[in-house]
Amino acid sequence: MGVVSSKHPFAPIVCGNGVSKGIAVGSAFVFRDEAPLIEKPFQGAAIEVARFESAQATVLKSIELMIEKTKRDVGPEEAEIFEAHLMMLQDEELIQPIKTSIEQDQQTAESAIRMSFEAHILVFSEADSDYMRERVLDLKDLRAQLLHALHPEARSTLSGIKNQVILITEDLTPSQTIGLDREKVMGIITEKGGETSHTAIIARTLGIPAISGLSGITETITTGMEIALDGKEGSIFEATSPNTRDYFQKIILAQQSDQNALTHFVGKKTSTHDLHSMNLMGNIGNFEDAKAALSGDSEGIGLFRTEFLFMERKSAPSLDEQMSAYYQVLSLFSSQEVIIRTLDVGGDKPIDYIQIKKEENPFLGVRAIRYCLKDLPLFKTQIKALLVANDFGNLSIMTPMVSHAAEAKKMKLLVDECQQELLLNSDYKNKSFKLGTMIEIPSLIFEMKELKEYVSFISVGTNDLMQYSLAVDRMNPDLQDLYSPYHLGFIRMMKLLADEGQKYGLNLGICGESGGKDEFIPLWIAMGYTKLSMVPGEVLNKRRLISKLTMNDCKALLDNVLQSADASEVKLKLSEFHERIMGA
Amino acid sequence: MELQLKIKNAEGLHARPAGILAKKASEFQSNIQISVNNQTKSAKSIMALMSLSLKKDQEFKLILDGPDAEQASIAISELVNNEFKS
Repeated sequence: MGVVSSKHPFAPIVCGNGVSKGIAVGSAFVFRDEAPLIEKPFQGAAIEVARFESAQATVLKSIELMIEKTKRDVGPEEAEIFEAHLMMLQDEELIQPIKTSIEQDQQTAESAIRMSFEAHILVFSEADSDYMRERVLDLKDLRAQLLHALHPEARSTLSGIKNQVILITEDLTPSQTIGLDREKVMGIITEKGGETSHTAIIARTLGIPAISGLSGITETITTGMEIALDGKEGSIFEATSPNTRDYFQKIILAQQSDQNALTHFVGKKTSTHDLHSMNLMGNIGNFEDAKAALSGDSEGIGLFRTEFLFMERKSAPSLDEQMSAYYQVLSLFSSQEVIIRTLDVGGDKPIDYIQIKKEENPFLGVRAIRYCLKDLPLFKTQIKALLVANDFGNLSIMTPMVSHAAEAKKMKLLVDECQQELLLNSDYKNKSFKLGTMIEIPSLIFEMKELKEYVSFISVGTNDLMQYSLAVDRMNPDLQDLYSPYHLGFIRMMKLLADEGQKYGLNLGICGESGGKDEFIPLWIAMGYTKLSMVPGEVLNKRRLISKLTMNDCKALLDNVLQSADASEVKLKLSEFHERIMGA
Repeated sequence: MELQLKIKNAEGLHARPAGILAKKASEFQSNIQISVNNQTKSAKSIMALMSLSLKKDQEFKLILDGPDAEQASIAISELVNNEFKS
């Protein structure tokens, strides 16, 4: 159970795990799921088997409908659980014992179903993994559906909810969750389950606030009680007084209008109020992230970290494996640019099968491009996989940890070499792509003239650039006040970097954390950065923010910030400007 | 024929992957079994697979016998190694 504290000005009755964010207020409905216990006399094996088979057919049909509904309303991945149900209910291991029990032990269909499921439930409830224990719920779900199919007259009360309620229950089976009436169920509180339970996943997708892991809650709260819940912090409040209800209603309204305002920006181009366009892209580590980026309306990928492909395994991924991983993302975004960063190993990212000698200062050691240029077979495999995967995409290759233009030159030559080797194969389409480097090391800022010979774009990794220019280990908790983007030195460096980059015609982007920070975005625009890459879910928010800015305002703010006395003044000016813009 | 495989996906062989595996195994004529901890179960049954409760990094033996054993072993190892992403 969570800590009983809250950001709301009321004391919560109780706190659990917030598993689906959002506020709900309304009257509680405590639901107890009881599979009908009706027993009938044994009517002979043939009839009982037929009754069972007809119940089985009814349930199979209803699961098929649920699969359709889930695919339509939630998503294909969530429908997979029902596809598993479908297979379980046709599995001989489950079906045969039921029939045997009817035929040999003269059991009714009802009790044969109960006993046979109980045996399987026992096996799963003794499993030593949470995932397996959660399968008990799948079996209970199927059992309840079969018993309901035998006794349609004893239909569960869940589908009959008439008013808007906050549903409180021990646990919801997958079929109950997908069957919920979204118009009626404003919130869900369960005794069991957690972040990864099926109920939590569906609640999040449907946008129903939910809290779980509150054992005894079906006793604490009674049907008809007025309550409020905050699905983010996991808190539950008594809401009997109009005051409390008004307070939560206001938050709900504010959130709804905010959400509605954001949908206005879906599918739009990103530009300032005076039509200076910007590109907002996503930072990703795998295909799942890429899908999230696409649904979050990212305009391409600004940073695909490939190290995750290389981690947690015994040997490097093969050319084919890498190619299919890159191809998936490239083809998902087709004509939109996907910037893929070559392997960033070393420093804080060790990989078992990559032997880097123990170093005194790994962050200043054989990292990323420095390692890759020493392990050419590995590096060339990655480059070739990227080039081949580009058949159906818009690829940019980006190299991390470049400290001198000479390394970019080596990279360029190596890419040329890979291209030549691939051209020997007639299948290779040789589609055009871009080359670029990250800027994490300050020395490169002073070699832009040389760098432009080998690359066409740069993208600033602000986290590492800060660490390397301020000489502050970003993991060291004692130095956190020094590790700050508000330092004048850092901001002036970002300005110099942009000026130099523009002077030599390089396309400018930022893929570090500061790139997507609200307060800094006006500065980046003023400096001339045109691509900002960020957490995929933030794109719409930033597109709205940028639509409120003008180039003149951004430039005036930058001038003003550069006149500050110190970091705290910078911070104050940035936050004042941000509040003024967002308040307007 | 027999071969040794290892579960790679984080959640282990729970309902969804077990379903995918059983479905794939059922596409072949051969008798296909999975053996782990002295238990041998049919790879064509989702219930049997789930009851083995295989976790990430756990190794198991795939036992195949029949005319298309070779193809089945290739298809199944691929599925397991790709973490059941179809």
